[in-house]
Amino acid sequence: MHWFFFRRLVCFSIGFLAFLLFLFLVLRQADRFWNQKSPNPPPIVIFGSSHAEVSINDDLLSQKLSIEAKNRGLSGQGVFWSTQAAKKSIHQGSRLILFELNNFSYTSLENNISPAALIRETGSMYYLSASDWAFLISNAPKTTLDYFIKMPFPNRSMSGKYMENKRWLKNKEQPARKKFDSFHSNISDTVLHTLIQAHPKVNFVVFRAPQHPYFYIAIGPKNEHYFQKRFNLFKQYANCQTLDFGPSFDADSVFADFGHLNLNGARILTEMLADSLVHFGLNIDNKQ
Amino acid sequence: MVFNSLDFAVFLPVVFAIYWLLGAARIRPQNAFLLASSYVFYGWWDWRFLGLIAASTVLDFWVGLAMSKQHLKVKRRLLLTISLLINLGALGIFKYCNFFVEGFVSAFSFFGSSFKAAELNVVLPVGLSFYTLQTMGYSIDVYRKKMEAHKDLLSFASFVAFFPQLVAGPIERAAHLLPQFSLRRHFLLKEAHLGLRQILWGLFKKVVIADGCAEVVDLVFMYYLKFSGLTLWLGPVFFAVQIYCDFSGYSDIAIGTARLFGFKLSQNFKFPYFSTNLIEFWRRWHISLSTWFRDYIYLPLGGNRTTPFKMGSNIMLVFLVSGLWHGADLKFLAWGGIHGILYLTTKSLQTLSNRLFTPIPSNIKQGFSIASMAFTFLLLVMSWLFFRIDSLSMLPQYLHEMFAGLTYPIGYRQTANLFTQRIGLFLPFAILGFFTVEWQGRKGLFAIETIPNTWPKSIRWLFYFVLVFLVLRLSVHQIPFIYFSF
Repeated sequence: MHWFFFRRLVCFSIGFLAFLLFLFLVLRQADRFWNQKSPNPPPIVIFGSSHAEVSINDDLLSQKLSIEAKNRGLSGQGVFWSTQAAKKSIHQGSRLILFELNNFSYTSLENNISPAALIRETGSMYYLSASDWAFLISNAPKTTLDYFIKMPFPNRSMSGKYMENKRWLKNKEQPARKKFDSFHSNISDTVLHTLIQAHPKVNFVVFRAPQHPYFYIAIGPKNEHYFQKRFNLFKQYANCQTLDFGPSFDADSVFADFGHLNLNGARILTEMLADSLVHFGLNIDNKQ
Repeated sequence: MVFNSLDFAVFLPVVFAIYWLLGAARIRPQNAFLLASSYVFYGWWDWRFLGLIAASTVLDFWVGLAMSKQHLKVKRRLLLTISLLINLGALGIFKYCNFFVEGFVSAFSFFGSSFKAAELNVVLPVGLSFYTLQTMGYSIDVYRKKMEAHKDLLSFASFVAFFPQLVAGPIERAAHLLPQFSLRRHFLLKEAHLGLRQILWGLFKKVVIADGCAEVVDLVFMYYLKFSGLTLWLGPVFFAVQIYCDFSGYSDIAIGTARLFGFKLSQNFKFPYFSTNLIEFWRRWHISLSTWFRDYIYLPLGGNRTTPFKMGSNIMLVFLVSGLWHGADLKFLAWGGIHGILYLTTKSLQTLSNRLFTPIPSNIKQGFSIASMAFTFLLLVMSWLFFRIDSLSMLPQYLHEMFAGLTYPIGYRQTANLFTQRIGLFLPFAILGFFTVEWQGRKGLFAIETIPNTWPKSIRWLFYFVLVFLVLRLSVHQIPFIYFSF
């Protein structure tokens, strides 16, 4: 084989990687510029998994606080990707970020690196830090490469919205005890801590949505203990409040299943949340 | 294994490196390695059908050898008949069995008796229609003494199973490709560059244009009852672009890949949508199949040296067979029939048009050429409708809404919505850019064979980077090539 051909192939590959990197940086700058000029961003944005998605009625919250709120909860969304989306939201100008954490947030890496998660999170790509990229590459190199190549055009769109859960808890059979005792020391909570520290002028509220009493029996005390330890760490920041609604509800009528509220429960929780936010007196003036 | 997959992206460089490391002087090890690689390539899809390729190879190799030893025409004909019967039998069983069983059932039902046939659900082995024609062509050529029977089973098997063109052509003539397996192949830098360039252009056609169009086409044909007017025109128009880019994209990748290994395959598409009439189109579209039918069906039936009526019926027959070759379905038969009629009409009008246009100045003639191209494309769009539609029973309603709907304002609103909400601007601009490049490069074997040579190196590389990026960026789903199902 002609070595000159091989050398040219190598040169072409290096050139192509440089081109990709250059394109990424250009698109990243363009996306950031485009999002910074975002007109009227919602001052309050809620991030989290399906627990957030079905638990906070953002229209009702906006009505109660007379300030626009947007629920960006997304089924299966882990803390890592919620944090990236929150970065974009802060960049657009949102000033109060509500962050939902739950007992599964620390038990699985799958939500962070699964192809499904990466495909729907291309909008947050330009907000990943170098350490976030390193985390993704070390855990799933091929998927991350696929993700990188799918770099999107600059856009202001964000995934997630409030979903009315119209189901009612029917099967009251106590769930079997499941093992949720293995905890990954992943960077999910680290990225959230970093975000809170990096934006002292932005207010954060880290909260847990209510679960049915049977839920806590199913997950076991070790998981709950671990959750509390992590959850309490967020109390150290002056710009972050914590709200644990976890064991607040016990009536079956507010649950769709053991882990999620129905629309009735969402209404009650939203009202409770609005009252708490007023009580905290958080500065959510978007004009700052 | 498909060309637009990660598996192939790994497979090709590995095979390429080992192949050339074996050394150009060692033909047999190279052939053996190519054969093994081809079987791996095919077996990646379904290893059970490797036996079919091997059987077809051994049969035609043996028939060829036996024919070369026979001087009696009767015995030679008997041997050829055996080869044809077995090859066509395999095609009949795997490709047309369900079609004929269904036909029988319909016929019995028509005459009032109910007849229940067992469902066979025979799976069509990928590439069967292509390599069967290739091996049959070899046997016929040996029978006609147009070529000597090949004496080396290894190179013959490599020829039949040659992975770049095994699954969807080009259908190579033994006289063209087989001798290349007996010659030393040298690594030529220029050929390797051109090969890579052709592969890249083929991937661009497939992944960016064809797969982009596929989304629109599938949407329009799936929900055709909800659309009307202009939107229904978009279905066959985008399908015309899709099928061309899909199939010619495959051919480009196949030819480019073969070039990397020192082989030259035949050109399969010669910018067919720039044809000014249907006859020219058929000289430019799927050339390897058209010439196969010409040489092995049309010419033996008498070709042009017969009465006009016989010639017309021969042309009709070839088009009907061509339609049926695409699949066991009445819609393909109808598609072939329509092309037969259009071809014959064009042929009869051609003499008249030649007389009319000869004294016209060249600039006006050029204007006529562009108008003819547009008209030919319109005819092709209408014929592709027959090809793409799920069932012929859908056709009357589709056609009615397609034409009558042009008078409803809602149809135009639907089209505008489709562009703003689903299609966007990228695809139309990509198609426009693609055809501009094709037009510029229409003198070459493929569009970007010569164009970038005149550009500065930095621009040329930037152009390739953009193409590679678009291919990688848009290859979310591996949409199979359309001709895999034929």
